[in-house]
Amino acid sequence: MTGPMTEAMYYVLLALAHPAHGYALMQQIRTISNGRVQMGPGTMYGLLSKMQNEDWIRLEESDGRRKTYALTETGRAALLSEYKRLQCLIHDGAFLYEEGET
Amino acid sequence: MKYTWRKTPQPWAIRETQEYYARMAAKGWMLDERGTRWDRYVRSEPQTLQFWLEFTQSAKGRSAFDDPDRIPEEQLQLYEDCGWKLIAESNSVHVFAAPAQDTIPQPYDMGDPQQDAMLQQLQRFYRKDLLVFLISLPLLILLFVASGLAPLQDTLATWWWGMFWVLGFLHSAWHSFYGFQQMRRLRRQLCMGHWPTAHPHRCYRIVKCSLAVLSLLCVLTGLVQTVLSYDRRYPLPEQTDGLCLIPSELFGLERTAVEDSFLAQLDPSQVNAVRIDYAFPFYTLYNAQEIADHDDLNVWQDIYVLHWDALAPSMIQSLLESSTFADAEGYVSVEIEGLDGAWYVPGGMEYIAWKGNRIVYASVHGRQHSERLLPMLEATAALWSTDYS
Repeated sequence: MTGPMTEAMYYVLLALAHPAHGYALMQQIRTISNGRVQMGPGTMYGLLSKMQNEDWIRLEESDGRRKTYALTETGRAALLSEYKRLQCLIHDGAFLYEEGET
Repeated sequence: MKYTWRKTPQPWAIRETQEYYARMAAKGWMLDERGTRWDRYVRSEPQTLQFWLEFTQSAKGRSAFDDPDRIPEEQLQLYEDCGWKLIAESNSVHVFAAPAQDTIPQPYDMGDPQQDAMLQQLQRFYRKDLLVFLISLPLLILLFVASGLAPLQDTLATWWWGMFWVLGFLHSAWHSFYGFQQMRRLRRQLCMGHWPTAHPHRCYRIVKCSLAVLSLLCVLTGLVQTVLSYDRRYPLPEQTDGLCLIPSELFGLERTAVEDSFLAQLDPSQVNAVRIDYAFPFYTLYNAQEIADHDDLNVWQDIYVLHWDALAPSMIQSLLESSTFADAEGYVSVEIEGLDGAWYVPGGMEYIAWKGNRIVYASVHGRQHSERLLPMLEATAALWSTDYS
């Protein structure tokens, strides 16, 4: 996949710092984002399927209908790359904030 | 348990359907089964619920063992974890319900995948119909061509099942055309940012109902004709190797088996394809030898069992035109008691006898054959009147 990630993808990868299943990821995302991001189950399932196809995540464990996922090396690299890109964006726009303060 | 049935809302009117199910639940009617035409509701306590219609997404990335019409178990579990309960499902549509509370997350927080999935489903559905239409078109043409185009009128007017097929074909064509229009309408609405809504589409229903009524009439007519013609299925003298109308009593004829090697030499064109369309089974090439004086008199007979009586004139015309040893003009019609019709070639070798839904075509070869045609026709009529049932 090329280009920037969507916010939802970024948060799913963030939440997968520790292996977890879909519903646990949804709760984790809510916690990480202080309740700002509330992902729906349909969106979550779609993203997990997509990321598995992209080889960003892999199936860690399958407990009946619940599946636990973990980040792959590719996924971790993509997350770091996105993190750096977002940092650059913030850095580039920092002068606006500084101008506002002075 | 108390049930009630309501017409299934149109599949593309997603939001209307969700709201409708919620209204029914509030009235104390909970959706129990979703069908293609009718939904079943069960009596329950009035509940304040929200509903969600989930369509099966495209099969990409799914296991070959997954049911293509069902959402994956993992997705189902996720929905249940979030408070959505699967209430009913049919034809790739899954209906979820949850208490109408803010704490229950909406299945999708971005985009409208419902619409895309719904369009995919509809497209798949209409494509299947188009496929049936495209397959039936050459088959129908083939039927007419095989019938020899000349009896096209007969095919349409007398073959009730032929008409039934034509109507089925028209129904398929109409449905495909409607599907094409419907997809265009839905895409246009979605491009304009509108959620598709239910609409009465009266024209579609009128045409569809008319075709269904006509098909039903065809079937009923066919059944009536079959019943009416049933009494006219005169039994024929049956022997171990099939039906036989050769008057064996006449001229001391004895029926003999036709050798396979001889049959193999025969030109298949002797049996006209048109006859097969008219006749159900047909029996051909029986050999009878006169044993009285060991003379070489042979009688070949074809017996045709027609689908029903009204096909007889067309069948007889076909036999006259494709007669092996004479032109159609060479035949003379003759009235013989006990037969619906009889023809023979004066000074020739062939005769045709018709009674009810049976026709016998025979050719006589050998000494004094031309003198024997009329007596044989009369003997055939007499033999036919005998009750062999």
